[in-house]
Amino acid sequence: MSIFTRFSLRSLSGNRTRTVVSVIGIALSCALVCAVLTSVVSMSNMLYERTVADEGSWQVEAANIPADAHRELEGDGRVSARLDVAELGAIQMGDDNAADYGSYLFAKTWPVNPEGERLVTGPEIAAGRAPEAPGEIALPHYLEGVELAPCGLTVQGADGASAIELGSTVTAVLGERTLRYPEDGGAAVAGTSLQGTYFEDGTVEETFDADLGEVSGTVVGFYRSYGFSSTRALQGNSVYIYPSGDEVEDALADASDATCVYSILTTHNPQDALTIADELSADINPQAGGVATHSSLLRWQGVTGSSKVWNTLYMIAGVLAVVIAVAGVSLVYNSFAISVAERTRQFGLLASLGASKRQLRRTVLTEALLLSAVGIPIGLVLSLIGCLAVFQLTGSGLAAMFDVDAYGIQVSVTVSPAVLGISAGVALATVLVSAWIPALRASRVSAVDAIRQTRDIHLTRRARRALARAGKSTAEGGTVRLRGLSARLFGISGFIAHRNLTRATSKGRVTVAALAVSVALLIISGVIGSVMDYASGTAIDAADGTDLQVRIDATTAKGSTGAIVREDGKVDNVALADALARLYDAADGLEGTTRAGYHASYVADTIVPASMVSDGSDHFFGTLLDDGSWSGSIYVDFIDTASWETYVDGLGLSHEEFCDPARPQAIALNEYTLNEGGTYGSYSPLSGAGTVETVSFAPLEGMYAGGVMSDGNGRPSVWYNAPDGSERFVPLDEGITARKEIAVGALADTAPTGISTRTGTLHLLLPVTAMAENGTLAFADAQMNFDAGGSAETAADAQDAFELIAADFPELDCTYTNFAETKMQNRMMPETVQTFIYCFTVICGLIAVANVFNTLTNSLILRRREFAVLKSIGMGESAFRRMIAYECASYALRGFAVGIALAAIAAAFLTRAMAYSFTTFALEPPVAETAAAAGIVLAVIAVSAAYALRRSHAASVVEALRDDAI
Amino acid sequence: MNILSIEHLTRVYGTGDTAVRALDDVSFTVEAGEFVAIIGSSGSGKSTLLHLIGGVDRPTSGTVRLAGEDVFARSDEQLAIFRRREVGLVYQFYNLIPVLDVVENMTLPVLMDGRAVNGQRLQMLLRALGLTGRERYLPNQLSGGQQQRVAIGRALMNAPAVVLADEPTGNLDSRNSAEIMQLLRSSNRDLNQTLIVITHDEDIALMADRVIAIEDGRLVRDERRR
Repeated sequence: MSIFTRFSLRSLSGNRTRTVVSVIGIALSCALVCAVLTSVVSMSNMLYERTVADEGSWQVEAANIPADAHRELEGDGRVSARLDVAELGAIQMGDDNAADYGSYLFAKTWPVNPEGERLVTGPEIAAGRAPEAPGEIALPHYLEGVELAPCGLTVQGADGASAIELGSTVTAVLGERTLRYPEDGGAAVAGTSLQGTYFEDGTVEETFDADLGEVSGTVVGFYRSYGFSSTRALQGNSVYIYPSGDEVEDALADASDATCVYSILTTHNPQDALTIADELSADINPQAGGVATHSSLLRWQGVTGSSKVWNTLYMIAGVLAVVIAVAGVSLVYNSFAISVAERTRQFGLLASLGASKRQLRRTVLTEALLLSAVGIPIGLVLSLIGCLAVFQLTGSGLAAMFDVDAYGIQVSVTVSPAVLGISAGVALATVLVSAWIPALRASRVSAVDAIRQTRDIHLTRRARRALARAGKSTAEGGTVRLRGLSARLFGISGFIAHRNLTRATSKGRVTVAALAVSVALLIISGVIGSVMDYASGTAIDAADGTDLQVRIDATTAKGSTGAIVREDGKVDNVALADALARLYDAADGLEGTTRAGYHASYVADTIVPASMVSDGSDHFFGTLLDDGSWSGSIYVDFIDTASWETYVDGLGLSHEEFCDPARPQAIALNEYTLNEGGTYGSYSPLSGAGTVETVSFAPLEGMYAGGVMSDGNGRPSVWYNAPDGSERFVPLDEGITARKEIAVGALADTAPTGISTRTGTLHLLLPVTAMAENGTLAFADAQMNFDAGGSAETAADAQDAFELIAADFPELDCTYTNFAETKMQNRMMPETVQTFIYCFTVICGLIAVANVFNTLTNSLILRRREFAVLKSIGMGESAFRRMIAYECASYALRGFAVGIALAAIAAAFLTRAMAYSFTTFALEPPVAETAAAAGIVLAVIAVSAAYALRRSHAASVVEALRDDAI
Repeated sequence: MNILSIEHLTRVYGTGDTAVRALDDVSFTVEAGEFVAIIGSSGSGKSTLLHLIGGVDRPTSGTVRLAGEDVFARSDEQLAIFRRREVGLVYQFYNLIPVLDVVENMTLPVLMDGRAVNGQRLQMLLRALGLTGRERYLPNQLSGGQQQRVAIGRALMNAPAVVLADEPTGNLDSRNSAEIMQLLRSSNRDLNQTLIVITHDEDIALMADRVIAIEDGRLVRDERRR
């Protein structure tokens, strides 16, 4: 062991607090990096497993692969597994069968996965079993028990019957189906479709030549032919024959366009998949076949990424990684900066004894490596334990979130050696980068510093100027007085503290930086928490308060005609309101449940005046009329009296205004969440109260009323269209036969129980008492809600009881939804996300706290000699404490200002990330987080200062003064 | 007149087997205006004695009376006031505050007391100490001798009852040593400043009115030279 390594070891054991805090810091940073990576990898892996279970692990599919390319694939070392499906030809079903069973079937070999692989999921067997040996056949489920008219598929039943059953022997005549396009130069294509477009009878000539021989075998199973296969090989209605071994070779060898081979493969290294796909594309005519990649699988293997929500997650993970890296660097850097500053004289002495700059630098870096050697393994173990614990804790939530339980996949932590390696590497790099500058500083210490007794003070330009000014005034005979605001306010304590703050700025900067990073970390982890909360909350409809929902239709019920539905086919609102009220009364006291209200929904064509349309509502409303008003269909929901009153109370509105049956006023829902193809947004389309007009359109022979639109001149008119594409604009006074005004008295951000705001359609809410006078609206459905305390079982029992009661109401048609179960799963998702966030916040908080503690404690302990001098020349204990408090306050204030700025920058990035998925996300100023950060940081400062002062106090003034030995 | 009287002063560091009796039943008195040199080998207890007189450390037993008052009857806070008003300490390693300049370091005891600095006395000391023109220098911009002169200035600024110097020239070359001792000697003569200097420099001991020798924590010789 070299003397320098020994020196490093001694200094590490010499300041145990710093060593322990540094090891903790390195371990935490490493753990956090490893945990984030492990979580992402585990989640990706789960999604990968799910995709494999659902669609198979294939990466590339080459349809209609030529023999040369196929031969190359066989010897390709990049391919880890491959399976071939041979298409053997078409089977004509004949005109008599075509209407029921389609015109053709295609004969294919059954996909046999290589040993130990699941490249594709075979067709789902509906009856019997999958073919397992040559001579066995699987047919589409719709042919089970069918007696076919004579065609290309002939059947000999086991007992001579001609119906297709398990055990029947079938023989198929294979042929070539050729399609010719007279318009398109007569190009011939074999198959059923061209690039996804199905042929229309009129434009194509079709011929069939039964020239590909026959296949026959025993039917062992029927597969479910509907549904979707991710591979082209398994699409379409087919007769699957277990391969006898020669089919692929034959299909490649023969010249027929009707036979072809689908090669489905997976690679050792997912990155090769795209290369192989490109190579194959060059060989394959896309008209006749083509190459497909399994993008939904490759995404989880990190080869391609396209899902928008997943992008947000990666970007958030990226921000997390940067935050962790900054925290880690800050902590380790501070620790080393302090350790070097503490030993400036030691380094100077070593230099004076002949140590080279390189040796000094290596001393510090050795220290860094020693700390890493302890910290990184601890961190890796911690992160794996943490991940296991969190995954265990949130197992069911994660399973629901990633929808994996349906595939029998266990939620598990993927321990990837690569992740461990990368985390260790990142942590080591963090430590070395952080230690590098202090190491350089150590190597630059001059021998003179060892001999001189005083700490080096590097003045900033401002401090130098201030000194020069002061010098001039003394030279001119000025008196000596305490200068500056701090001195005037805080006396000698403030004076010395201020001098220390302004003249020893580099020391202070380290402390301020540590504080700033900590404040930023605390605020950011809080913000991340609320961001994730928004994300998980917005994407999930919790349907609170409803465990059992009964949807009631009056128009489809057998007993409704005459009772509720009038002669003209319209719903009699008075009768319906009465029936609903009676049913609701009868359903009172279902065991274990409380009634959560009911409502009847109607659809109305309306005109919303420009004065009520809010700015930026076009995303919600779509096109506005030229005068700024909007016209279209909305929902009008009539809510039962009790729920209505509760709702009015909840909104803080007056009963007098909103609960007077003689003068009904509507409340408009004004907060909607829209899912716009993968991204989410929330909208408030209305700007204020007003009057909405519901309208009925005049019938026009042979045309449909399409609503109110601006005509060519910008005037609102009723637009009619006909199936032949013709259209007509009719002036409003002719086109509208009836108008009815609904006064909207208030806007509301929350909906009563049972009414969803996750819609792009405006809702107006009214009490049931207003149903009678709104007879022109079109009835949609009614809904009754029951709260079963979240228990799916109770809700099911309540449903049984309700069904008995509903039997007495033949005019109402009830359908039931048990929400309790879905709700439980939905609740688990945000809880899962939050658990992760809490873990992240706590670890970040720990790093921040360790950082502040380390920096502050050490910077104070370093000055214990200085403190001793002050005490020896008569500074009292209270003045001393005031001085420390002043300094800490200054650090805290500056650290806080910089920290908030840092947090704002990170928050801006997060908001951007969110905007990918949540169009209308706006970040609330994180006041609570900031206050919490302030509280935590102040507490840590107080504890650190107290600890440091106790430590420096423990050594008495005398000892501190004698502490001159190096 | 006795400015300082020390009675049965004992200081024990540590407890049990490791206990070290740094000072063992030492008694003597010092008259106002006296220049006392305390000599002894390393570890004899000289510095312990000085720290006790300066109120920096508390004795295990015994008393120190300065101007008739028991130093250690005071509370910690009062002791701090005592240190800044009644004694001036000069160390071998100057112990200046690195972030404060010459004037600030010198006037620190006055400023701590919340009193106004006597400008005349400051100018006089700066002149006497040869620091005129260097008022705004920070300690690391000064040589060792200059730093020690600032430390002496700090000790004298409040015109304390006693100036205590612990090897004040231990770190200096002979020319600087002579200058520093000359300064201390003249403050002793001209201002009638009581001066207690710890040293093992024969020449310095020769300058003193009285030499007290300490060996193993005990007073072994007390020799009045004039």
